[in-house]
Amino acid sequence: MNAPLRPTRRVTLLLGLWLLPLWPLLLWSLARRWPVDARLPDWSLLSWQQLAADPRLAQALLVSVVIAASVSLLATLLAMPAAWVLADRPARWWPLWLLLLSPLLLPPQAAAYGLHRLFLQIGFVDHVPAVVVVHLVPALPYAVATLSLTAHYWGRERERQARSLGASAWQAFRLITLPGWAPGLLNAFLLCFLVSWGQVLLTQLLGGGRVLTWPLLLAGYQQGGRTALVAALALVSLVPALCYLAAVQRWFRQWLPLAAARDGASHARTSGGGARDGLRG
Amino acid sequence: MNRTGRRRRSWSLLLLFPAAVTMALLVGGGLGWALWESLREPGSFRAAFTHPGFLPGLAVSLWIAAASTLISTLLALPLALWIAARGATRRQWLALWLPLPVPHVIAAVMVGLLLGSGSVLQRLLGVEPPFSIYGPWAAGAILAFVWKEVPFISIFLLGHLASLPRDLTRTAAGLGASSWQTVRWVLWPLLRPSVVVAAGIVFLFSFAAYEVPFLFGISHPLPLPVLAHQFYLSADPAARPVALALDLLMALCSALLACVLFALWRAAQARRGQAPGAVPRAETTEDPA
Repeated sequence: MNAPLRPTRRVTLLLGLWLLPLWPLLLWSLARRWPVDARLPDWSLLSWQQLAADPRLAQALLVSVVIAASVSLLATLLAMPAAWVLADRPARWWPLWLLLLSPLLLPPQAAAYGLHRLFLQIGFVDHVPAVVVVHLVPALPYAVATLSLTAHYWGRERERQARSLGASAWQAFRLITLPGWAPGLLNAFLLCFLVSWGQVLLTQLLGGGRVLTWPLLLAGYQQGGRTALVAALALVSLVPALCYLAAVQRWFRQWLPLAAARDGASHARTSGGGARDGLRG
Repeated sequence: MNRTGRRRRSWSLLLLFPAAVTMALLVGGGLGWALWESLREPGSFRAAFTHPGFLPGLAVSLWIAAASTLISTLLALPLALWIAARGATRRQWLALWLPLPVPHVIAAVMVGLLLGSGSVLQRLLGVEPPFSIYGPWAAGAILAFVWKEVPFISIFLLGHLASLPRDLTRTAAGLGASSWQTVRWVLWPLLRPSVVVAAGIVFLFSFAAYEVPFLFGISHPLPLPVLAHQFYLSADPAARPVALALDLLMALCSALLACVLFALWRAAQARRGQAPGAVPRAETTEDPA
């Protein structure tokens, strides 16, 4: 776009309004008591102190992180080779797209109830590995979708050039594809982390109450009406979300001029495709 | 097919194998086992379908999904067009992205604290919210979904808008189109398939989501996912096949809705080809095989 960008104040106001629901969390997490007729709460750090003192909470945090990290690592590793193939000729592999993205269409818990019954038969329930396996159902589609986009935009041309210059397949992968995919891999990893981080129902089912994660504790305290503690827990569970934003905000810059970068990429793609057709013919 | 072609194909299959097998085992195994256990008990599907909570639960879930999707799309579409036309500052981008990675549970908690009984808004400003978020219309759950999905749909559409050639809007303006006419006759026909996809993802997700309706305690009638879960957790072993049947009926509803959405998408794609603003796509995603 040649004309200078004119972001308006009205957009800022609108988006600021959208973040309004974050403030109650902050206020409540700093409240000891907040009677209904009081405008402001009695300030205190009590809920944060409780949070720091309770070993159950620290353990739940650790369990949540371990589960989410394992899920995202597994999902990214599984999705990487698949995305490499799927992005090359998407139309040809449509049944596999349907299979791999099916948890976006069907509810993930639809499969989870059956999996729970099945895993009960073989005694694979009520521990962290079972929860990790069931979290793969909602997480894997996100890894496949984002990594396919990465593969699509990165293309295969550079890898082919490396091969034609005498690199082995492994060298081409390690020195060309892997570094090129790195931002996409990070994005997929973080997205899967967030998907796993927010699960309640699937954890409850396969964890059978033995695997206590952060959102499960939060939901429990919410039912118990301990608002100040819930607010503090909720704020802590926003930390991975903020990490995600910090990681992806580099890409905002690419989006700001909105077209230029993409147009360049698609031209490169088209000419790359032409060269490949020439090679094949 | 020559020998290199065959070798490439077997390579491709080998690379697809891990993800495909994992997903087939998890989804296929889960659904298959649920089907097997519910069919082993005769009459479980009939019991699930004729349960007094089934049709009202389906109606509530459809209402929540439809209202969240409609409101989110109607808000996100102008927002995306606005940002695409004017650009956004870094801070605005951050604000737009922020709800995206927030877990749904947290979104529900936040909406509850902001607008629920004895809400922060009520305490600070002394105004009563005009409606109860715990009421029979499930306003709280819908608001929680809208809060999360407006940024999702906007970002999805902005991704598409960014890939459109720049000259389109400029040419339209040069030919004397007002900004409304540009949106109506140039951008909207091109954007329609993406709107269907984004809205479809939101619809299917909110239809089957358990956490948000559960946290708002929507109980008369119980939304379908909550009903199925209550059945499943029931101590009565006879309830389990019925719970699995309920769960499968819910999955069937999702699948049917997905088919409807796919037909809508196809229609939007076909109409896009006839639209006056249609241009040949710069990037061909399909290789002539």
